[in-house]
Amino acid sequence: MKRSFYKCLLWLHPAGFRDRFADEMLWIFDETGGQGPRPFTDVLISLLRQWTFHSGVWRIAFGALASCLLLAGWWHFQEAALASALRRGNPGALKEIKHRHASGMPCVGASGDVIRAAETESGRAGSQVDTGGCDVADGVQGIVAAFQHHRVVMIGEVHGLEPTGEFYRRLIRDRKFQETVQDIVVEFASRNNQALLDRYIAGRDLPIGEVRHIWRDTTKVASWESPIYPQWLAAIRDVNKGLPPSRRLRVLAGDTAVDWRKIYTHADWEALGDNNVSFADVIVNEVLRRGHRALVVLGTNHVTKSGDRNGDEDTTTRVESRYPGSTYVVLLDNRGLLGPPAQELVRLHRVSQNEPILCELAGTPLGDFPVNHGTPLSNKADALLYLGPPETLTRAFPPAGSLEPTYMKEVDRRSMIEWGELRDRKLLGAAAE
Amino acid sequence: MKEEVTAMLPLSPAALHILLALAGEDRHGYGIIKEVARQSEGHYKLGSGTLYDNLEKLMDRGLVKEATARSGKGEPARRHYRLTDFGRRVLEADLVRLKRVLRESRLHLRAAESGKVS
Repeated sequence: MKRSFYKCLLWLHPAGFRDRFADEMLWIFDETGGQGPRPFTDVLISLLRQWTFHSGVWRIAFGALASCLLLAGWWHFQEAALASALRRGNPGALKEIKHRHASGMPCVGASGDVIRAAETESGRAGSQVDTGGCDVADGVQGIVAAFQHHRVVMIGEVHGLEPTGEFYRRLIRDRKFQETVQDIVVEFASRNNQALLDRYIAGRDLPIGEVRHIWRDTTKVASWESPIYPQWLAAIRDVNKGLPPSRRLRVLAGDTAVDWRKIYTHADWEALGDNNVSFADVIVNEVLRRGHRALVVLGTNHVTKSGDRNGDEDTTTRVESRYPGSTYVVLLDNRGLLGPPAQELVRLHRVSQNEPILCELAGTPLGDFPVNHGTPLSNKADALLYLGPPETLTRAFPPAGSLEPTYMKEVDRRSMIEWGELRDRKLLGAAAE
Repeated sequence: MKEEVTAMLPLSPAALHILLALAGEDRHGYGIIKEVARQSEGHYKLGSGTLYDNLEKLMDRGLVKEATARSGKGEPARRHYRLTDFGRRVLEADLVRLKRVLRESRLHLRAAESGKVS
Protein backbone atom coordinates (compact mmCIF):
# COMPACT_ATOMS: atom_id res chain seq x y z
CA MET A 1 0.00 0.00 0.00
CA LYS A 2 2.69 2.45 1.06
CA ARG A 3 4.78 1.51 -1.96
CA SER A 4 1.86 1.99 -4.34
CA PHE A 5 1.17 5.41 -2.87
CA TYR A 6 4.85 6.36 -3.17
CA LYS A 7 4.81 5.16 -6.78
CA CYS A 8 1.77 7.37 -7.50
CA LEU A 9 3.59 10.39 -6.13
CA LEU A 10 6.58 9.62 -8.36
CA TRP A 11 4.31 9.27 -11.37
CA LEU A 12 2.95 12.77 -10.73
CA HIS A 13 6.37 14.31 -11.28
CA PRO A 14 7.12 15.99 -14.65
CA ALA A 15 7.96 13.47 -17.38
CA GLY A 16 11.57 14.59 -17.76
CA PHE A 17 12.34 14.20 -14.05
CA ARG A 18 10.36 11.00 -13.79
CA ASP A 19 12.15 9.36 -16.72
CA ARG A 20 15.51 10.21 -15.26
CA PHE A 21 15.09 9.45 -11.58
CA ALA A 22 11.85 7.65 -10.66
CA ASP A 23 13.35 4.15 -10.93
CA GLU A 24 16.19 5.06 -8.60
CA MET A 25 13.89 6.75 -6.11
CA LEU A 26 11.65 3.69 -5.98
CA TRP A 27 14.68 1.45 -5.49
CA ILE A 28 15.83 3.60 -2.56
CA PHE A 29 12.31 3.41 -1.09
CA ASP A 30 12.50 -0.40 -1.31
CA GLU A 31 16.02 -0.51 0.16
CA THR A 32 15.00 1.60 3.16
CA GLY A 33 11.67 -0.15 3.56
CA GLY A 34 10.00 3.22 3.25
CA GLN A 35 11.53 4.16 6.59
CA GLY A 36 13.98 6.94 5.59
CA PRO A 37 13.69 10.61 6.62
CA ARG A 38 9.94 11.27 6.10
CA PRO A 39 9.86 9.77 2.58
CA PHE A 40 6.36 10.90 1.71
CA THR A 41 6.88 14.46 2.91
CA ASP A 42 10.19 14.60 1.06
CA VAL A 43 8.71 13.40 -2.22
CA LEU A 44 5.71 15.73 -1.88
CA ILE A 45 8.05 18.68 -1.44
CA SER A 46 10.04 17.48 -4.46
CA LEU A 47 6.80 17.27 -6.46
CA LEU A 48 5.87 20.81 -5.50
CA ARG A 49 9.35 22.11 -6.37
CA GLN A 50 9.41 20.38 -9.74
CA TRP A 51 6.02 21.68 -10.83
CA THR A 52 6.38 25.24 -9.53
CA PHE A 53 9.98 26.38 -9.65
CA HIS A 54 11.66 23.94 -12.03
CA SER A 55 8.85 23.77 -14.57
CA GLY A 56 8.57 27.52 -14.69
CA VAL A 57 4.88 27.61 -13.77
CA TRP A 58 5.53 30.58 -11.49
CA ARG A 59 6.97 32.42 -14.49
CA ILE A 60 3.82 31.74 -16.46
CA ALA A 61 1.62 33.08 -13.64
CA PHE A 62 3.77 36.17 -13.30
CA GLY A 63 3.82 36.62 -17.07
CA ALA A 64 0.02 36.35 -17.24
CA LEU A 65 -0.37 39.02 -14.57
CA ALA A 66 2.10 41.35 -16.29
CA SER A 67 0.35 40.75 -19.63
CA CYS A 68 -3.03 41.76 -18.18
CA LEU A 69 -1.56 44.99 -16.86
CA LEU A 70 0.06 45.78 -20.21
CA LEU A 71 -2.99 44.80 -22.28
CA ALA A 72 -4.68 48.21 -22.31
CA GLY A 73 -1.57 50.03 -23.49
CA TRP A 74 -0.82 47.33 -26.07
CA TRP A 75 -4.36 47.55 -27.46
CA HIS A 76 -4.09 51.30 -27.94
CA PHE A 77 -0.73 50.91 -29.68
CA GLN A 78 -2.13 48.27 -32.06
CA GLU A 79 -5.14 50.40 -32.93
CA ALA A 80 -2.94 53.41 -33.64
CA ALA A 81 -0.61 51.31 -35.80
CA LEU A 82 -3.56 49.83 -37.71
CA ALA A 83 -5.05 53.26 -38.37
CA SER A 84 -1.66 54.49 -39.56
CA ALA A 85 -1.27 51.51 -41.90
CA LEU A 86 -4.74 52.09 -43.29
CA ARG A 87 -3.87 55.70 -44.04
CA ARG A 88 -0.83 54.44 -45.99
CA GLY A 89 -3.06 52.15 -48.03
CA ASN A 90 -1.83 48.87 -46.51
CA PRO A 91 -4.03 46.10 -48.01
CA GLY A 92 -3.71 43.93 -44.90
CA ALA A 93 -4.87 46.77 -42.71
CA LEU A 94 -7.83 47.34 -45.02
CA LYS A 95 -8.88 43.69 -44.72
CA GLU A 96 -8.54 43.78 -40.96
CA ILE A 97 -10.69 46.89 -40.67
CA LYS A 98 -13.32 45.42 -42.99
CA HIS A 99 -13.40 42.20 -40.96
CA ARG A 100 -13.86 44.09 -37.71
CA HIS A 101 -16.46 46.39 -39.20
CA ALA A 102 -18.46 43.43 -40.55
CA SER A 103 -18.23 41.62 -37.22
CA GLY A 104 -19.23 44.64 -35.19
CA MET A 105 -15.86 44.67 -33.42
CA PRO A 106 -14.37 48.02 -32.37
CA CYS A 107 -12.56 49.85 -35.17
CA VAL A 108 -10.79 52.75 -33.59
CA GLY A 109 -9.88 55.35 -36.19
CA ALA A 110 -11.92 53.93 -39.06
CA SER A 111 -15.54 54.28 -40.09
CA GLY A 112 -17.55 52.84 -43.00
CA ASP A 113 -16.71 55.93 -45.02
CA VAL A 114 -12.99 55.43 -44.42
CA ILE A 115 -13.26 51.86 -45.60
CA ARG A 116 -15.08 52.78 -48.79
CA ALA A 117 -12.61 55.57 -49.50
CA ALA A 118 -9.64 53.29 -48.92
CA GLU A 119 -11.08 50.65 -51.24
CA THR A 120 -11.54 53.21 -54.00
CA GLU A 121 -8.03 54.58 -53.63
CA SER A 122 -6.19 51.31 -53.42
CA GLY A 123 -8.10 49.52 -56.25
CA ARG A 124 -6.27 46.46 -55.17
CA ALA A 125 -6.65 43.39 -57.40
CA GLY A 126 -5.73 40.99 -54.61
CA SER A 127 -3.29 38.86 -56.60
CA GLN A 128 -0.95 38.56 -53.62
CA VAL A 129 -1.86 36.51 -50.60
CA ASP A 130 -3.26 38.86 -48.05
CA THR A 131 -0.89 38.41 -45.17
CA GLY A 132 -2.16 41.20 -43.00
CA GLY A 133 -2.46 39.88 -39.51
CA CYS A 134 0.21 37.52 -38.40
CA ASP A 135 2.22 37.94 -35.25
CA VAL A 136 5.59 39.18 -36.32
CA ALA A 137 8.89 39.07 -34.49
CA ASP A 138 12.56 39.30 -35.32
CA GLY A 139 13.51 35.86 -36.64
CA VAL A 140 16.20 35.07 -34.07
CA GLN A 141 14.33 36.42 -31.05
CA GLY A 142 11.10 34.80 -32.20
CA ILE A 143 12.73 31.38 -32.23
CA VAL A 144 14.37 31.95 -28.86
CA ALA A 145 10.96 33.01 -27.47
CA ALA A 146 9.36 29.82 -28.79
CA PHE A 147 11.54 27.84 -26.37
CA GLN A 148 9.68 29.36 -23.45
CA HIS A 149 6.74 27.06 -24.08
CA HIS A 150 8.21 24.34 -26.27
CA ARG A 151 11.29 22.28 -25.60
CA VAL A 152 11.86 21.47 -29.24
CA VAL A 153 11.82 24.05 -32.03
CA MET A 154 11.89 22.38 -35.43
CA ILE A 155 12.94 24.30 -38.53
CA GLY A 156 11.82 22.73 -41.81
CA GLU A 157 14.42 23.79 -44.34
CA VAL A 158 15.01 23.60 -48.03
CA HIS A 159 18.49 22.09 -48.14
CA GLY A 160 21.59 24.03 -48.98
CA LEU A 161 20.28 27.61 -49.17
CA GLU A 162 22.80 30.36 -48.48
CA PRO A 163 20.41 32.59 -46.48
CA THR A 164 19.42 29.71 -44.18
CA GLY A 165 23.09 28.98 -43.50
CA GLU A 166 23.60 32.62 -42.49
CA PHE A 167 20.51 32.48 -40.31
CA TYR A 168 21.66 29.32 -38.48
CA ARG A 169 25.05 30.86 -37.75
CA ARG A 170 23.41 33.99 -36.50
CA LEU A 171 21.03 32.03 -34.30
CA ILE A 172 23.71 30.09 -32.43
CA ARG A 173 25.72 33.26 -31.83
CA ASP A 174 22.78 34.86 -30.01
CA ARG A 175 23.48 34.96 -26.27
CA LYS A 176 19.89 34.19 -25.27
CA PHE A 177 19.88 31.19 -27.58
CA GLN A 178 23.08 29.91 -25.98
CA GLU A 179 21.54 30.34 -22.51
CA THR A 180 18.30 28.60 -23.46
CA VAL A 181 19.22 25.68 -25.73
CA GLN A 182 21.44 22.71 -24.99
CA ASP A 183 21.23 20.60 -28.15
CA ILE A 184 21.02 20.96 -31.92
CA VAL A 185 19.71 17.95 -33.87
CA VAL A 186 20.76 17.84 -37.51
CA GLU A 187 19.82 15.74 -40.52
CA PHE A 188 23.24 15.96 -42.17
CA ALA A 189 24.98 13.54 -39.82
CA SER A 190 24.32 9.88 -39.06
CA ARG A 191 24.31 8.46 -35.57
CA ASN A 192 27.29 6.20 -36.12
CA ASN A 193 29.36 9.40 -36.49
CA GLN A 194 28.22 10.92 -33.19
CA ALA A 195 31.60 10.38 -31.51
CA LEU A 196 33.41 12.06 -34.43
CA LEU A 197 30.95 14.96 -34.32
CA ASP A 198 31.45 15.32 -30.55
CA ARG A 199 35.23 15.44 -30.96
CA TYR A 200 35.05 18.05 -33.69
CA ILE A 201 32.54 20.27 -31.87
CA ALA A 202 34.60 19.96 -28.68
CA GLY A 203 37.45 21.71 -30.52
CA ARG A 204 39.75 18.79 -31.33
CA ASP A 205 42.02 19.36 -34.32
CA LEU A 206 41.02 16.75 -36.85
CA PRO A 207 42.04 16.37 -40.49
CA ILE A 208 39.38 17.57 -42.91
CA GLY A 209 39.40 14.17 -44.58
CA GLU A 210 38.06 12.70 -41.34
CA VAL A 211 35.64 15.52 -40.50
CA ARG A 212 33.98 15.31 -43.91
CA HIS A 213 32.65 11.85 -43.03
CA ILE A 214 30.14 13.65 -40.82
CA TRP A 215 28.12 15.07 -43.70
CA ARG A 216 29.23 12.70 -46.47
CA ASP A 217 28.28 9.39 -44.88
CA THR A 218 24.54 9.69 -44.30
CA THR A 219 21.62 7.73 -45.73
CA LYS A 220 20.89 10.57 -48.16
CA VAL A 221 23.26 10.42 -51.12
CA ALA A 222 25.03 13.58 -52.35
CA SER A 223 22.79 15.82 -50.27
CA TRP A 224 25.05 17.67 -47.87
CA GLU A 225 27.92 19.00 -49.96
CA SER A 226 26.70 22.58 -49.63
CA PRO A 227 29.28 24.57 -47.64
CA ILE A 228 26.56 25.92 -45.31
CA TYR A 229 26.68 22.72 -43.23
CA PRO A 230 30.41 22.57 -42.44
CA GLN A 231 30.33 26.36 -41.96
CA TRP A 232 27.59 25.94 -39.39
CA LEU A 233 29.47 23.21 -37.54
CA ALA A 234 32.59 25.37 -37.50
CA ALA A 235 30.56 28.29 -36.10
CA ILE A 236 29.13 26.10 -33.32
CA ARG A 237 32.62 24.85 -32.48
CA ASP A 238 33.80 28.44 -32.34
CA VAL A 239 30.92 29.53 -30.09
CA ASN A 240 31.59 26.60 -27.72
CA LYS A 241 35.18 27.78 -27.19
CA GLY A 242 33.77 30.81 -25.38
CA LEU A 243 31.23 28.94 -23.27
CA PRO A 244 31.72 27.10 -19.97
CA PRO A 245 31.55 23.29 -20.33
CA SER A 246 28.09 23.06 -18.78
CA ARG A 247 26.65 25.49 -21.34
CA ARG A 248 28.24 24.24 -24.52
CA LEU A 249 25.98 23.38 -27.41
CA ARG A 250 25.89 19.74 -28.35
CA VAL A 251 25.23 18.73 -31.96
CA LEU A 252 23.28 15.48 -32.20
CA ALA A 253 23.44 13.39 -35.35
CA GLY A 254 19.87 12.51 -36.21
CA ASP A 255 20.09 10.37 -39.32
CA THR A 256 19.93 6.59 -39.21
CA ALA A 257 23.28 4.90 -38.66
CA VAL A 258 24.75 3.64 -41.93
CA ASP A 259 27.95 1.91 -43.00
CA TRP A 260 28.18 2.33 -46.77
CA ARG A 261 30.86 -0.36 -46.94
CA LYS A 262 28.08 -2.84 -46.27
CA ILE A 263 25.51 -1.39 -48.68
CA TYR A 264 25.60 -3.07 -52.07
CA THR A 265 22.04 -3.11 -53.38
CA HIS A 266 18.90 -0.99 -53.32
CA ALA A 267 17.38 -3.54 -50.94
CA ASP A 268 20.31 -3.01 -48.55
CA TRP A 269 19.69 0.74 -48.69
CA GLU A 270 15.91 0.36 -48.25
CA ALA A 271 16.50 -1.82 -45.21
CA LEU A 272 17.85 1.28 -43.44
CA GLY A 273 14.22 2.25 -43.10
CA ASP A 274 12.45 5.54 -42.51
CA ASN A 275 14.90 8.02 -40.99
CA ASN A 276 12.02 9.85 -39.27
CA VAL A 277 12.20 7.01 -36.73
CA SER A 278 15.83 7.85 -36.03
CA PHE A 279 15.26 11.62 -35.81
CA ALA A 280 12.37 11.10 -33.37
CA ASP A 281 14.41 8.61 -31.35
CA VAL A 282 17.27 11.06 -30.89
CA ILE A 283 14.91 13.90 -29.94
CA VAL A 284 13.03 11.78 -27.40
CA ASN A 285 15.98 9.98 -25.79
CA GLU A 286 18.79 12.52 -26.01
CA VAL A 287 16.76 15.71 -25.57
CA LEU A 288 13.35 15.33 -23.98
CA ARG A 289 14.13 12.51 -21.55
CA ARG A 290 17.13 14.50 -20.32
CA GLY A 291 15.04 17.61 -19.75
CA HIS A 292 16.94 19.53 -22.44
CA ARG A 293 15.85 21.99 -25.11
CA ALA A 294 16.83 21.50 -28.73
CA LEU A 295 16.82 23.23 -32.08
CA VAL A 296 16.09 20.63 -34.75
CA VAL A 297 16.86 21.32 -38.41
CA LEU A 298 15.45 18.85 -40.93
CA GLY A 299 13.95 18.96 -44.40
CA THR A 300 10.42 20.36 -44.53
CA ASN A 301 8.83 16.99 -45.25
CA HIS A 302 10.15 15.66 -41.93
CA VAL A 303 8.64 18.31 -39.69
CA THR A 304 5.17 19.39 -40.83
CA LYS A 305 2.65 19.09 -38.03
CA SER A 306 0.13 17.14 -40.07
CA GLY A 307 2.54 14.40 -41.11
CA ASP A 308 4.56 14.10 -44.31
CA ARG A 309 3.32 14.92 -47.80
CA ASN A 310 1.62 11.51 -48.00
CA GLY A 311 -0.10 12.01 -44.66
CA ASP A 312 2.15 9.40 -42.97
CA GLU A 313 3.98 9.83 -39.69
CA ASP A 314 6.93 12.15 -39.78
CA THR A 315 9.38 13.22 -37.07
CA THR A 316 7.06 15.79 -35.50
CA THR A 317 4.06 13.48 -35.25
CA ARG A 318 6.24 10.74 -33.75
CA VAL A 319 7.66 13.06 -31.08
CA GLU A 320 4.25 14.61 -30.34
CA SER A 321 2.71 11.18 -29.81
CA ARG A 322 5.10 10.66 -26.89
CA TYR A 323 5.56 14.23 -25.67
CA PRO A 324 2.44 16.21 -26.65
CA GLY A 325 2.95 19.94 -26.96
CA SER A 326 6.72 19.68 -26.91
CA THR A 327 7.33 20.85 -30.48
CA TYR A 328 7.10 24.18 -32.29
CA VAL A 329 7.33 23.93 -36.07
CA VAL A 330 8.81 26.69 -38.24
CA LEU A 331 8.79 26.43 -42.03
CA LEU A 332 10.91 28.50 -44.35
CA ASP A 333 8.78 30.77 -46.54
CA ASN A 334 10.30 29.86 -49.90
CA ARG A 335 7.14 30.64 -51.86
CA GLY A 336 6.92 34.32 -51.10
CA LEU A 337 3.75 33.96 -49.05
CA LEU A 338 4.80 37.01 -47.12
CA GLY A 339 6.14 38.75 -50.20
CA PRO A 340 5.94 42.55 -50.53
CA PRO A 341 3.53 42.88 -47.59
CA ALA A 342 6.45 41.69 -45.45
CA GLN A 343 7.80 45.21 -45.78
CA GLU A 344 4.50 46.53 -44.48
CA LEU A 345 4.81 44.10 -41.62
CA VAL A 346 8.29 45.40 -41.00
CA ARG A 347 7.05 49.00 -40.74
CA LEU A 348 3.90 48.09 -38.84
CA HIS A 349 5.63 45.99 -36.23
CA ARG A 350 8.79 48.04 -35.97
CA VAL A 351 11.01 45.08 -36.90
CA SER A 352 14.32 46.17 -38.46
CA GLN A 353 14.62 46.21 -42.22
CA ASN A 354 16.52 43.37 -43.91
CA GLU A 355 16.33 41.23 -40.80
CA PRO A 356 14.85 37.74 -40.72
CA ILE A 357 11.19 37.73 -39.71
CA LEU A 358 9.26 35.07 -37.82
CA CYS A 359 5.55 35.14 -38.57
CA GLU A 360 3.36 33.23 -36.09
CA LEU A 361 0.31 31.68 -37.71
CA ALA A 362 -2.16 30.64 -35.02
CA GLY A 363 -5.45 32.46 -35.32
CA THR A 364 -4.27 34.69 -38.17
CA PRO A 365 -5.45 35.13 -41.77
CA LEU A 366 -2.11 33.78 -42.99
CA GLY A 367 -2.62 30.68 -40.84
CA ASP A 368 -5.91 30.07 -42.66
CA PHE A 369 -4.24 30.22 -46.07
CA PRO A 370 -4.82 26.88 -47.85
CA VAL A 371 -1.76 24.96 -49.02
CA ASN A 372 -1.49 21.47 -50.51
CA HIS A 373 -4.96 20.02 -50.96
CA GLY A 374 -6.62 22.85 -49.07
CA THR A 375 -5.00 22.22 -45.70
CA PRO A 376 -4.66 25.50 -43.74
CA LEU A 377 -1.07 26.55 -43.31
CA SER A 378 -1.46 26.61 -39.53
CA ASN A 379 -2.15 22.85 -39.64
CA LYS A 380 1.34 22.38 -41.04
CA ALA A 381 3.37 24.84 -39.04
CA ASP A 382 3.31 27.19 -36.07
CA ALA A 383 5.26 29.93 -37.84
CA LEU A 384 6.89 30.95 -41.10
CA LEU A 385 10.47 32.13 -41.30
CA TYR A 386 10.96 34.86 -43.88
CA LEU A 387 14.54 35.37 -45.05
CA GLY A 388 13.78 37.37 -48.18
CA PRO A 389 11.87 37.04 -51.46
CA PRO A 390 12.14 33.64 -53.23
CA GLU A 391 14.61 34.91 -55.85
CA THR A 392 17.15 35.64 -53.10
CA LEU A 393 16.99 32.11 -51.65
CA THR A 394 19.87 30.74 -53.72
CA ARG A 395 21.63 27.47 -53.15
CA ALA A 396 25.23 27.43 -52.02
CA PHE A 397 27.25 24.88 -53.97
CA PRO A 398 30.83 23.82 -53.38
CA PRO A 399 33.27 25.32 -55.91
CA ALA A 400 33.37 23.82 -59.38
CA GLY A 401 35.58 20.72 -59.59
CA SER A 402 36.19 20.68 -55.84
CA LEU A 403 35.00 17.15 -55.15
CA GLU A 404 37.75 14.55 -55.36
CA PRO A 405 37.50 11.96 -58.16
CA THR A 406 37.84 9.06 -55.70
CA TYR A 407 34.99 10.45 -53.63
CA MET A 408 32.83 11.02 -56.71
CA LYS A 409 33.39 7.41 -57.73
CA GLU A 410 31.93 6.29 -54.40
CA VAL A 411 29.06 8.82 -54.65
CA ASP A 412 28.25 7.48 -58.13
CA ARG A 413 28.12 3.97 -56.66
CA ARG A 414 25.75 5.10 -53.92
CA SER A 415 23.62 7.03 -56.42
CA MET A 416 23.15 3.91 -58.53
CA ILE A 417 22.17 2.01 -55.39
CA GLU A 418 19.62 4.57 -54.26
CA TRP A 419 18.20 5.78 -57.58
CA GLY A 420 19.50 3.47 -60.29
CA GLU A 421 20.95 6.51 -62.09
CA LEU A 422 23.68 9.10 -61.64
CA ARG A 423 21.34 11.60 -60.03
CA ASP A 424 24.24 12.74 -57.86
CA ARG A 425 25.80 14.44 -60.88
CA LYS A 426 22.69 16.53 -61.37
CA LEU A 427 22.47 17.40 -57.67
CA LEU A 428 26.12 18.40 -57.39
CA GLY A 429 26.41 20.26 -60.69
CA ALA A 430 29.80 21.83 -61.48
CA ALA A 431 31.26 20.70 -58.18
CA ALA A 432 31.36 17.13 -59.47
CA GLU A 433 33.06 17.93 -62.76
CA MET B 1 36.50 30.71 -15.06
CA LYS B 2 36.69 32.06 -11.45
CA GLU B 3 33.45 33.97 -12.09
CA GLU B 4 31.68 30.73 -13.03
CA VAL B 5 32.78 29.11 -9.74
CA THR B 6 31.78 32.15 -7.71
CA ALA B 7 28.39 32.27 -9.42
CA MET B 8 27.61 28.84 -7.95
CA LEU B 9 28.20 29.93 -4.35
CA PRO B 10 26.99 29.59 -1.71
CA LEU B 11 25.94 25.97 -2.10
CA SER B 12 22.74 24.90 -0.40
CA PRO B 13 23.21 22.46 2.49
CA ALA B 14 21.90 19.58 0.40
CA ALA B 15 24.16 20.39 -2.56
CA LEU B 16 27.18 20.73 -0.27
CA HIS B 17 26.55 17.35 1.35
CA ILE B 18 26.02 15.67 -2.03
CA LEU B 19 29.25 17.04 -3.47
CA LEU B 20 31.12 16.04 -0.32
CA ALA B 21 29.73 12.53 -0.57
CA LEU B 22 30.99 12.28 -4.17
CA ALA B 23 34.38 13.83 -3.43
CA GLY B 24 35.92 10.48 -2.47
CA GLU B 25 34.39 8.16 -5.05
CA ASP B 26 31.55 7.66 -7.50
CA ARG B 27 28.32 6.64 -5.79
CA HIS B 28 24.78 5.72 -6.69
CA GLY B 29 21.83 7.55 -5.18
CA TYR B 30 21.39 5.35 -2.14
CA GLY B 31 25.15 5.39 -1.58
CA ILE B 32 25.06 9.18 -1.50
CA ILE B 33 22.26 9.15 1.10
CA LYS B 34 24.18 6.72 3.33
CA GLU B 35 27.46 8.65 2.97
CA VAL B 36 25.75 11.95 3.86
CA ALA B 37 24.28 10.33 6.97
CA ARG B 38 27.71 8.97 7.92
CA GLN B 39 29.58 12.24 7.33
CA SER B 40 27.04 14.26 9.31
CA GLU B 41 26.84 11.60 12.04
CA GLY B 42 23.13 11.36 11.44
CA HIS B 43 22.48 15.07 11.90
CA TYR B 44 21.67 15.72 8.26
CA LYS B 45 19.16 13.32 6.74
CA LEU B 46 18.76 13.46 2.95
CA GLY B 47 15.54 12.17 1.40
CA SER B 48 15.52 10.84 -2.15
CA GLY B 49 13.25 13.64 -3.34
CA THR B 50 15.69 16.26 -2.09
CA LEU B 51 18.61 14.23 -3.39
CA TYR B 52 17.38 13.96 -6.95
CA ASP B 53 16.04 17.51 -7.07
CA ASN B 54 19.52 18.68 -6.27
CA LEU B 55 21.26 16.12 -8.48
CA GLU B 56 19.21 17.33 -11.42
CA LYS B 57 20.37 20.90 -10.82
CA LEU B 58 23.96 19.89 -10.17
CA MET B 59 24.05 17.86 -13.39
CA ASP B 60 22.48 20.64 -15.43
CA ARG B 61 25.13 23.04 -14.15
CA GLY B 62 27.98 20.64 -14.84
CA LEU B 63 29.06 19.96 -11.26
CA VAL B 64 28.08 16.30 -11.37
CA LYS B 65 27.84 13.83 -14.19
CA GLU B 66 26.73 10.27 -14.68
CA ALA B 67 29.43 7.65 -14.42
CA THR B 68 29.28 4.23 -16.03
CA ALA B 69 26.68 2.05 -14.31
CA ARG B 70 28.26 -0.57 -12.07
CA SER B 71 26.72 -3.59 -10.45
CA GLY B 72 27.49 -5.23 -7.13
CA LYS B 73 27.59 -9.00 -6.70
CA GLY B 74 24.35 -10.40 -7.95
CA GLU B 75 22.78 -6.92 -8.24
CA PRO B 76 21.52 -5.13 -11.33
CA ALA B 77 23.65 -2.25 -12.72
CA ARG B 78 23.00 0.98 -10.85
CA ARG B 79 23.65 4.41 -12.26
CA HIS B 80 26.53 6.08 -10.42
CA TYR B 81 27.29 9.77 -10.13
CA ARG B 82 30.65 11.46 -10.31
CA LEU B 83 31.99 14.85 -9.25
CA THR B 84 33.34 16.77 -12.27
CA ASP B 85 36.47 18.89 -12.20
CA PHE B 86 34.28 21.97 -12.19
CA GLY B 87 32.22 20.52 -9.32
CA ARG B 88 35.39 19.85 -7.36
CA ARG B 89 36.50 23.48 -7.81
CA VAL B 90 33.11 24.75 -6.66
CA LEU B 91 33.17 22.47 -3.61
CA GLU B 92 36.66 23.65 -2.69
CA ALA B 93 35.59 27.29 -3.08
CA ASP B 94 32.58 26.76 -0.83
CA LEU B 95 34.71 25.04 1.79
CA VAL B 96 37.05 28.05 1.76
CA ARG B 97 34.01 30.26 2.28
CA LEU B 98 32.82 28.09 5.17
CA LYS B 99 36.27 28.16 6.76
CA ARG B 100 36.14 31.95 6.73
CA VAL B 101 32.70 31.90 8.34
CA LEU B 102 33.97 29.50 10.99
CA ARG B 103 37.02 31.68 11.71
CA GLU B 104 34.93 34.84 11.98
CA SER B 105 32.40 33.18 14.22
CA ARG B 106 35.11 31.87 16.57
CA LEU B 107 36.67 35.34 16.79
CA HIS B 108 33.38 37.00 17.60
CA LEU B 109 32.23 34.31 20.02
CA ARG B 110 35.57 34.46 21.84
CA ALA B 111 35.34 38.26 22.04
CA ALA B 112 31.78 38.05 23.38
CA GLU B 113 32.82 35.54 26.04
CA SER B 114 35.65 37.74 27.23
CA GLY B 115 33.32 40.74 27.38
CA LYS B 116 35.13 42.66 24.67
CA VAL B 117 32.26 43.26 22.27
CA SER B 118 33.45 45.26 19.24
